[in-house]
Amino acid sequence: MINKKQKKSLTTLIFIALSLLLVFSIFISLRVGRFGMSGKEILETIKRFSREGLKTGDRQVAVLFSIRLPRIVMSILVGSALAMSGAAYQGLFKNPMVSPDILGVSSGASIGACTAILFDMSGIKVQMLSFTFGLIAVFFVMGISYAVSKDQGGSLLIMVLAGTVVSSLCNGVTSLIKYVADTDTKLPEITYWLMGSFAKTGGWKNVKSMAVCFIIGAVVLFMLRWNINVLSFGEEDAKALGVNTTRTKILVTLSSTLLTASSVAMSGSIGWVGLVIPHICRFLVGPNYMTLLPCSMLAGSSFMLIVDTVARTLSSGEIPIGVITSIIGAPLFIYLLFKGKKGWS
Amino acid sequence: MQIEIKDVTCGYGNHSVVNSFSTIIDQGEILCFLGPNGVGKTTLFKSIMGLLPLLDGEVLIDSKDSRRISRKKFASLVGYVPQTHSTPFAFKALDVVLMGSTARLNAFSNPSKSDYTKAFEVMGQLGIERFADKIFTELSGGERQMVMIARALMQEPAFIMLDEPTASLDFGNQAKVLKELKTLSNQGIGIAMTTHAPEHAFLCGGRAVLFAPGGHALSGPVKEILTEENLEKAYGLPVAVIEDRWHDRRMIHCTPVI
Repeated sequence: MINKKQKKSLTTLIFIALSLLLVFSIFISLRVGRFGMSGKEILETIKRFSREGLKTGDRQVAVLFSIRLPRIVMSILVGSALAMSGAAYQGLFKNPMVSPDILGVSSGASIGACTAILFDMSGIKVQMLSFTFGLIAVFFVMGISYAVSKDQGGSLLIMVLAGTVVSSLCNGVTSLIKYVADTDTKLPEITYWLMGSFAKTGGWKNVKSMAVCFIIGAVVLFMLRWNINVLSFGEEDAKALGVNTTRTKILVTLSSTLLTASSVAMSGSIGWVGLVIPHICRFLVGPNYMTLLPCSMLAGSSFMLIVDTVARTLSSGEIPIGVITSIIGAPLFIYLLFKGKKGWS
Repeated sequence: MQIEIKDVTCGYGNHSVVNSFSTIIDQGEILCFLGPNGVGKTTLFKSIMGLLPLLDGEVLIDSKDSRRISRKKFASLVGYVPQTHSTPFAFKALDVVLMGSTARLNAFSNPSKSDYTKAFEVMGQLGIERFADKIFTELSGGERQMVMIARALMQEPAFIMLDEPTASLDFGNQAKVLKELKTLSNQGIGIAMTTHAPEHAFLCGGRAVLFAPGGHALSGPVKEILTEENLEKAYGLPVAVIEDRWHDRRMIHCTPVI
């Protein structure tokens, strides 16, 4: 039995370790790539940049500040957005098996993003379109599961099935968009994007609009994280404890969906992060959202950054990032299932 | 302060289970609700708590319509210990107790240091501070029940409603829970609980409400309500109510005659 003080310092240690991991990953990710740079070169480039800004002709500055850094920031934002929204959905539906993918949010948001590609939209418009469709999808899933299993307040089985149905419906619409898309230009773009990738998200403009959505979603979830704890005991308990459950549920759903949808809009559907990262974090720091949410944020960002760095350096071409997260995520999840049911039985 | 239940009809949808029921819960007393399964005790409790809409009648707290009281205010007046409590997550018992402080926080803030102190205090009062760091879902039934009572106490309520607090507890734990409830009522908290053991009502003293099948209810002092005749009507079989003496204490036993 670990006593309280040790446990507290263990949590602190985990946070320090995760922060160091993130800093280390950022450093490695800045260095590697087709245009390799040593640590010293990076420092010098940063100095040059702070002195002269983005000067045309300086290749190192351009690679570092117009290509690598925005991509790094984007993968950090997307990683923590997906992990946080996954964690929040799990508390909201009092179920650790729930994720943005299962709830149909990702496939819904994909419709929006594919439509945006089809019509050459960019920036915040893509995100808003994804958000709208993601929201429609999640409301459909919630609506169906509550209508079918009203007494149990929406059972898990029905919710998973409803999610499957809505996802498949959304995928149908996405296929339709692919069908009408120009086979030479749009179709490859949509297909590649659907597999998930940070390759086409570069540029500070996109990072900025992602950051706006991220901050809105993350701040709301952070402020509500104690109430998410209470909600995970079920709606009746939460009400009896004085929580305005309707308002809290709406706010949590809106901000989680915003986080997922804006991630999908930027980098396609990257599965498993929202499911596996909160799980790992529960093993690390326990289920209390006071620590779980920041932990998911840190772990999610490091995970995504590492995966993206691998994706862009492992082969001469880019490996779609969704492929890697699936290859890592699925076995890891099975391992977690075997290892301990402590977190969720 | 009192909770006044006035001509309350409750149930699910159009199907009413309890019909125009009235009673009063006073601070500092224990009111026991008895009756066969399915007679609507849980439904009534949930309706009083505002978790189910009332089909008719009203619940007044301190002469104020409970529907006009915000959830937050309500939680600071009435604590609730539901029959089943489950969470899929491995929360520590301390976290669960701390959730009782939610009503005092504003929607966007988190428990403070003083809430932690208070949680330890409440757990100490119930003699369960050693569970603080244990995983709630791994505790035994009796330990979990105590944690839930601690959570309700954290709300600093004037009343606590408990739905079958002694169900599925062993002999000793049942007595422990009852003893704590008695202590709490002596401290001025009004307690309403459902139970399947008439003896528990006798042990608590105070008043009892006995539901018979069909929704008909009797209420009054325990001794007047839980008579052999009334219990037989409610449960559909003869019941022996035996007064006894143990050392210099008077005890009352209830046994079904089979």
